[in-house]
Amino acid sequence: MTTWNELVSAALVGTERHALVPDPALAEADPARALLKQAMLLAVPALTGAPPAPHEGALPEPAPTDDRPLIPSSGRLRLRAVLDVHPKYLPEWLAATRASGCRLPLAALPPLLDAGRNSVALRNDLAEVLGAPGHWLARQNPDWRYLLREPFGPLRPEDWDGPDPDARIAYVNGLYAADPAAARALLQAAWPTQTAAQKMSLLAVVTRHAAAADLDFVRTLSKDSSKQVRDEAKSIEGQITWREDQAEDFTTKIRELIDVDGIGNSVYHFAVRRPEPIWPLDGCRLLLAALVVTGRGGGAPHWAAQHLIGLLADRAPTDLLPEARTVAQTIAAETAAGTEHRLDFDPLATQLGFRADLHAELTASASAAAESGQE
Amino acid sequence: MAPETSSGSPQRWSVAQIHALAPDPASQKAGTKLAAPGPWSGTGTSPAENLLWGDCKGSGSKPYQVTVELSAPAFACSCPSRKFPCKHALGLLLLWSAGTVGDTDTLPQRVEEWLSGRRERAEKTEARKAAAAEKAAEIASDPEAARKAAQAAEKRTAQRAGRIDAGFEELELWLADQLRGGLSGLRGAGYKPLDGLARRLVDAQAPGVAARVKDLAPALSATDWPDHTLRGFAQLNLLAQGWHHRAQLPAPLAATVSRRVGLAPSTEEIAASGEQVADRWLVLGMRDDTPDKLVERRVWLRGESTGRLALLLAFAPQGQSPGLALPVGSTLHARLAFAPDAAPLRAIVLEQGELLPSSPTAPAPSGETLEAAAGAYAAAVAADPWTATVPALLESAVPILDKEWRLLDAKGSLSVPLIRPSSGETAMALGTARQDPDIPKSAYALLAAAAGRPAPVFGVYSLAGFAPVTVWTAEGPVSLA
Repeated sequence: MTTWNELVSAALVGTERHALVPDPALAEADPARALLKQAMLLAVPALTGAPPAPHEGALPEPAPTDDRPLIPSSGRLRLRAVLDVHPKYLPEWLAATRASGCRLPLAALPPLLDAGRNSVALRNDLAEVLGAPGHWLARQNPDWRYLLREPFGPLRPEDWDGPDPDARIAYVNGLYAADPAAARALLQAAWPTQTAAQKMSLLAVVTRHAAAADLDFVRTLSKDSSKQVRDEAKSIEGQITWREDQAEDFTTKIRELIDVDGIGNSVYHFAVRRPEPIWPLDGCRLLLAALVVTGRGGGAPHWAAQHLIGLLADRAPTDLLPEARTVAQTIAAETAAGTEHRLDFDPLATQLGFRADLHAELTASASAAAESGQE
Repeated sequence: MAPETSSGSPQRWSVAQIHALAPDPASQKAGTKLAAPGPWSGTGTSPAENLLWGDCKGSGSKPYQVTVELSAPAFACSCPSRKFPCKHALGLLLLWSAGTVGDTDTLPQRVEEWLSGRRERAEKTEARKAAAAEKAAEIASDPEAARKAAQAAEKRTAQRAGRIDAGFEELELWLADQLRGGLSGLRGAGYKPLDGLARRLVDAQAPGVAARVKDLAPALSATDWPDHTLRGFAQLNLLAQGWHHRAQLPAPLAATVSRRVGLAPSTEEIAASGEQVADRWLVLGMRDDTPDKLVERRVWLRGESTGRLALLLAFAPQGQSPGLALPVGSTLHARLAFAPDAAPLRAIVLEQGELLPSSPTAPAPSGETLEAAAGAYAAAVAADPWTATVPALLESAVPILDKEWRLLDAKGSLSVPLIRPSSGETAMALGTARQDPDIPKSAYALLAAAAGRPAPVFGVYSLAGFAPVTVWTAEGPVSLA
């Protein structure tokens, strides 16, 4: 009896070159047709595939439980819309979810852990929102290990000297957030004994928390033995001094720039570089008023105007929403009456509305949870 | 497919149900984006008429006017999109599902007009149908005309069978030639000869055979391609033999052969002659594939009292919803008719009753062991050797990483390779689904959703392994991609 594997080797080179003795029972003189017939007879076992294999090892470690109330279903739909359509609002959504004290269904975790791979700014909130199950999941996938370098739960000073390099970084991260002076002292004392690789991972923490008080320390690193460390320190120094330069009051500066040349290059370049994620409300009101004036004026509005509306939609506090709606309605009424308006304020009202809903549903669920104890 | 409640007034659809109506993921996203009150005005719903309407501000000066008839369901929108339903209709449905559209008794004029236009068309269609039925009755009452019609039908069937015979003859010669010269030659020649043969088989009116020939092409680049290719040859030759001897085969197997060749029974034929089963059907899983510019939707059901598994299939051109908006975990009262087959699974809905949404507090459905699923797969292959996948609900499964990702039956301590449900039927049948680089994505999704604990997992068993489609978690069923 021929086996399936013998048939495969015969088929590979062809019956012209591979003498396959046809089974006389097949009553087929042509070796090619005999091979086809035999393959057909053996096909059913070959199609069934390998049977399930016995497994000796232990079962996977299950996720720890999370006692926080589950996020309401409106929040889950919102997360989907944020991830699919408005990923730029993910930081805002995560911060709001963190403040609500809700947990997410575990099925929502993988896409969020993927998002955190490419965005360091998300990671702190991610670690809190995903909680203990998130850390459990992050341990299973090398791509998600970054989460283990985030502070989570009470600070554990023993992690600094512990065997786990991720926990060590998580500790420094947490210490920097809780007590920056202590973190700086710890780094400076330990610095001479660190390897270049350890220094680099510590500098990654410094980058995230860097403030003016870190300048002295990072400047001492210009004589470090590793070129990588010297370069990184230099870039951190640059970031700190740049941020210092941006420290002017937003509202004052916006008023000044608008007074000088209205909506134009200078306002746009100032606004787009601001480090704070959400601008002060008063400055946003000034911008909105100036934009309305620009849109009404004759001639084409400045190129920056529509971009500034987009920036306002993303970075104005949601308290601006009532005014944005009034503006959009007024302009729609004026356009209907025949007055030309060259700027579109609808995206502002729509996106501020989206962000306002995002906060409202999470705040509502947080207060409901506080009242009932749990969902 | 009308998701209706027994009381007649439509209960608000779930988000999952509305998402299932979307013609493609892009529309789903765009619809979700429009599910905010911002761009909408003049929205309303009339429970008496089963209607939902609203105006959506778009990029133009005039808002798009959207109307949805909830029982059919039917959609109308003044936007130029060729997607169906369009993102405006989906956004409006989502808005309504969130409870932000108010009930009114008076319809806006444009909705009245749309409704009366629709009624008129329906009446005309009815009139045409009645006329056709009358004509058919006339022919039936006239023995001479009936005999002529039967003769013509017989002639058409015989003509098509003749073309298919010729197609199979060419195929058998081609298969023997390949084996004479060696499969390495076929691999060297690339896709062209396969495409040419497939085209000729389409001309021979055997599209099912043509698709099988085409499917050999991707297998040629797999690692164990000689194995896959010879298996494909064996299946093709078996189909040829089945076709030649179909008159001697038991009726269910003959029906299977005809379907695999490409002579699928029409819904009317299934409705008339298929086995009918009425039950409360639990929606176990749903998957969309997009071969050849089509959306192919599969919905798997299990009867609560009969335990029967059923597969509903729906197709639509890309950009349109295939319908079958049955959310996973919901229960459907329905009478199904099964297509005649050696291993009956495909079914159509004859009568549909209440659709009960899934409840997070409902207990997870009971399932079987991996061993039983493997046995069911082997039995299906023995009955129908052209079977690609067999559905199974595993009682307690968990993904494990053991050099490769595998799905472990925690009770029986047996495991099979884990594959992605979105690999497609062909890749599963050929075994190439095991090379999918995105397998870890499915594995982590399953691991996360079930919190690393063994859980009920519905999926499809195939030569390549098990593809998880749905997992039951503490928060209810979750679909996996």
